[in-house]
Amino acid sequence: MSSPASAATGVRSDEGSEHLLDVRDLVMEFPVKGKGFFRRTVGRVQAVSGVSLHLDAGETLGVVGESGCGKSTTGRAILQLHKPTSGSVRLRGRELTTMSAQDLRAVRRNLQIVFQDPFASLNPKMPVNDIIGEALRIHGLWKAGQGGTNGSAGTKGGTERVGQLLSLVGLSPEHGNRYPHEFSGGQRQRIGIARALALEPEVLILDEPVSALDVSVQAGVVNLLEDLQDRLGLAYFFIAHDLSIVRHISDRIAVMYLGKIVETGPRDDVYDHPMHPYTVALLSAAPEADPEAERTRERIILTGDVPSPLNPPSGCRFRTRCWKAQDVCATQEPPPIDHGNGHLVACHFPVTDVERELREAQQHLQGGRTAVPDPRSVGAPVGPVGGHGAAGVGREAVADPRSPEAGSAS
Amino acid sequence: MTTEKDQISGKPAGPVGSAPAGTPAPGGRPSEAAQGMAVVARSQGQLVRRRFLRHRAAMASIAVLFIVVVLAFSSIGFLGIPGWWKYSYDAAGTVVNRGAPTLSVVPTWLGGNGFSIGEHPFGQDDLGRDYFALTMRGTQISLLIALVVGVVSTVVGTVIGALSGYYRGMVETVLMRFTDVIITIPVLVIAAVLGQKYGNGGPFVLALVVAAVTWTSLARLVRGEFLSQREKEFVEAARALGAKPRRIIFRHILPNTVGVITVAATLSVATAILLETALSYLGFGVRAPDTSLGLLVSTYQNAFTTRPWLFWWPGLFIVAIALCVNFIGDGLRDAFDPRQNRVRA
Amino acid sequence: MSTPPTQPPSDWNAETAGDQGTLYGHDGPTPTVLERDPEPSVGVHVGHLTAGSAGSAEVLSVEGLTVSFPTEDGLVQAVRGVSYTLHEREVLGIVGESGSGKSVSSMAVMGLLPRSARVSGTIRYRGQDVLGMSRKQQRALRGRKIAMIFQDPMTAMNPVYTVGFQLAEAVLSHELMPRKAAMARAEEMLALVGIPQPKARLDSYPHEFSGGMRQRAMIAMAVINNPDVIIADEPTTALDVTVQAQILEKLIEVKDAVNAAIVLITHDLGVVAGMAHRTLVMYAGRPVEVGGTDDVFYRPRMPYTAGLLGSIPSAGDTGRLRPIGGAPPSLIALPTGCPFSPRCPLVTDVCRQTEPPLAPTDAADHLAACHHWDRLAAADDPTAFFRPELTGLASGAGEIR
Repeated sequence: MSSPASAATGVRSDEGSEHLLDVRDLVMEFPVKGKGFFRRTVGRVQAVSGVSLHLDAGETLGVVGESGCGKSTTGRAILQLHKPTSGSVRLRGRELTTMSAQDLRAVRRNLQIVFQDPFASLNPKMPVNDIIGEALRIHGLWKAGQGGTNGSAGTKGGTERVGQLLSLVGLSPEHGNRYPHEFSGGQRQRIGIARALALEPEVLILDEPVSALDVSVQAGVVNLLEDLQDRLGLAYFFIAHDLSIVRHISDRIAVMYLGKIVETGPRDDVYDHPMHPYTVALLSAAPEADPEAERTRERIILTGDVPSPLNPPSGCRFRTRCWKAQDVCATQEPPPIDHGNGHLVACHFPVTDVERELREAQQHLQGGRTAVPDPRSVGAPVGPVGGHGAAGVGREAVADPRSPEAGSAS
Repeated sequence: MTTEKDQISGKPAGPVGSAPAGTPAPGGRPSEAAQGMAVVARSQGQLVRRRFLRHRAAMASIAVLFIVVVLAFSSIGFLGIPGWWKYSYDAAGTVVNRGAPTLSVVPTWLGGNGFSIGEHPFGQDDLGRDYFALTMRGTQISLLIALVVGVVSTVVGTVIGALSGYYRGMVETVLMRFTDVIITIPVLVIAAVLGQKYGNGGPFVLALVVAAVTWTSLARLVRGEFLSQREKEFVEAARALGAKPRRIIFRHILPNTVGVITVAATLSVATAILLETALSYLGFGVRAPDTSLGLLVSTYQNAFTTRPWLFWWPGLFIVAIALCVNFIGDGLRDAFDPRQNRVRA
Repeated sequence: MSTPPTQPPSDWNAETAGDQGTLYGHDGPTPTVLERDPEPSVGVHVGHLTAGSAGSAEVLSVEGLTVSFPTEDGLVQAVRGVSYTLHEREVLGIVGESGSGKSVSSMAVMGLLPRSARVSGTIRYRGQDVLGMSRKQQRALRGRKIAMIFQDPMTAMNPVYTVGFQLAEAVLSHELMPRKAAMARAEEMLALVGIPQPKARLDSYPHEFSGGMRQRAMIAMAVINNPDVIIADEPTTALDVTVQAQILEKLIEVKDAVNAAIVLITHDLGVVAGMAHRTLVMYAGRPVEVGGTDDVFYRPRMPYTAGLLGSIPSAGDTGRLRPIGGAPPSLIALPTGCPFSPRCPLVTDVCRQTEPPLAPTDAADHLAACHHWDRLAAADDPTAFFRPELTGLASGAGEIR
């Protein structure tokens, strides 16, 4: 993939990092407003707590995690849609967090976003031509002959360029004067992609771009994204919770949990040899459209929910739901350790053998399960009930070879 | 209305452009996504218009209001342009038949006198002025005031609501607390004080006075809309593209709040009519020799037992106008409200 | 199709019929998910279930159900002839994309559709015609014998009442027991679905629960009256993967505890694969394929099913995905013939003219609505019919950069 010429930002800073996009120790806090007349800030929620990652030209970084883990916030903080509280975001060596609004506007040409909800992300009162062409107007590229730092785009009229963009994403240019509601979900998502591509960015932040689409339509959009990447050399910051699609599209994976990256590395390393217990559990819990595999697979079912970011656990943030947690996990936060090949894992007790781990997790549970006895339900056995995450004591994982009924069905 | 356009899906999830006909053959299909566009769905605006045109009460109200407006402005003329009615509202004459209305609508076969307008259809006041002309003048003034109030309070309310909703923070706190203060004081009290002070300036000044107290509800409404719209992803997308606040407000948020604003503006016109009436009735509004519907009602309230028509005619017009405007507002609200997808069988 | 109400199978503890006392009548340990070997009698393989199969009675049968909504734009044919039977303790998965009618058909079974909906067909609960019942009888059935779990537990629960109150209310509205007993039952149910400190949690409000806990509470509310049928409408769609796994596990466990059957509505093929005995695939308001889950997933006999399966990225395969071209049809103006024909790679003239009925294919209990199911049967990989689409990169794409 040819690295495209640094288009909009142009200048390469001297202190430039070798990566196209370099994020260091990104922290994103939101104030918690109290009630009352002045709505004073009574606390802060850390949605992203020290995330470091990088993205190279033409590469796809898949960011996975559960809702509230800060993956979307990270994407928006990179774009400076939310001003990060601290940390640095460098695009081609230029620091974005301290940039003036004017400079930032120029940088935005090189860094764009595609949103999750194809129904909310397009202005219902604007025809598609205007939606896609808006970026050109904002940056003064609408009229022929104006702007355009790298040749072709600037020399064309805006209408023509919008038509080009529409056909690029597989829509017909004649559809440009229609309104968003006339399109189906998949088509709208394509419009959103065309809008993001209008300024010829090098980096696209894809915030769950296919989660809201039907399965059969998802595949088409994923294919489109891959084609565009091949053609235009785009780098993708692909945020998703669908593990199978992330696996399909990504070169590298970053797994986030409660505002932190717990594991990152090349796609196959993370999927085939996950080392962080959370990754292991996440991968084992994701259902597959294969009845046989579903029946026979070993899975770790974590208890409880993700703790509240208002009051994150001390030490390792995953320890409240981790079956391997020891005392040290509560006191020391595990640093990310490189296990070779850029596979970084932030765990005191990384998983080495997934198969064995699944078995051990199961045994561990059968031995030490703390079923909550219910005084009132006489003789009613209660299923595996661990401490619940919200109660803050959950420690057990329940390994579950899929439903006993389905088992008998074979 | 147009059959070939009736393709928008009724699915709650949203419209689905589908291609029942005219789909290219599988071999030569242009692309997955370009398919399904053979059919034109109706635009939002068309839908709103269609729903509004189907709203019977609103349509009837528009007709009635139209008749009232035409009658009021064409009969006695306006701004020096003469009307077709023979009397002027400020010319006194001889009192005929104790000033009783000469209008007769009861047909002869029901024992009446058949339809006839007579000399003074609405009767005369004690100075012998033609009461039809007076009522028409009152209607003119009341409508004008209502219109000015509608426009001014909508503009003020929208600006204040938009600013506080978009910028939040200090701007919002200051503007909204100011709004709260105005809301807390009874509208009539403020208007009466202002009216007392500036009421001599004529109907236009009075309209500004009324507008100064009626913009608050709209401001709150618009602020709420802005608060929700500014969090929408398409606004975020515009910010990601580098759009400036002005562009976001005018190109993205405002067009999406038009429905709410239209409805609120219409209803504020109805409020204004009633408020003007109340002020004039209390003596803080329009002053003689000019007149308004409210002033007419108040002037002749003592004649209610002896010559009730002096009370009834302006009262009838007040009710008619206020009702019509309210119905139109209802119709607009139903048309703009996406949840109003019900069927009229 | 009017199967008279049948006796519950012998292993089904008779205590459950009474509403006092413990809800789930197993004296022994309930089958926990940890047990590899399921209780032999509990498992019901749908592959063996043909019409009139002995051993497990039909609890719910739906025949020729149609639902349409008149709208300003025309009649929306949301459901066009759905038929299925649900046996005791069976899990029936209904999959389909948005607008396929999967949710509407189950709302019809629950009697929860808006008044404007036009419903026809028959719905039988243990042989009784539900649609023919009086409102009062329907109400007695709803929440008592047929319970529902909604997608979004936050909106499905009333925020101003405590969870305990709402659970008890579910019992009290059927006047099954005094309030005190109902509260005890509510606590019991919360324990059953794995909510710690159930007694304390009774006094919590829904917003004090996390998403997963709320969905557990919803499950507790659904099973509190010991229903025969649980309709779960996208029960885990709003949840994260790890929580989804918990909830699905809990759902199966609770279902076994109360001996209910489940209609599991979802768009997630993975969830169906792991849970359902039988799978019903819907498209454009109609079932297009029904059969044992293995049959449907491994031997699809309807191109739509094959397309759906093919469009999911699989672990080993990193090539291009195989989407189904086009978009689902408008439910107001359906194409003539098979509604899938505009998107189908196997389409022929007959598909465009006549809509195929849902008919048996190579197995008597594997039904598909396709004229050309035999071509799918003949292929090694039925999903291979869906080739990667051309994304229309032809015109001017080269110049764009």
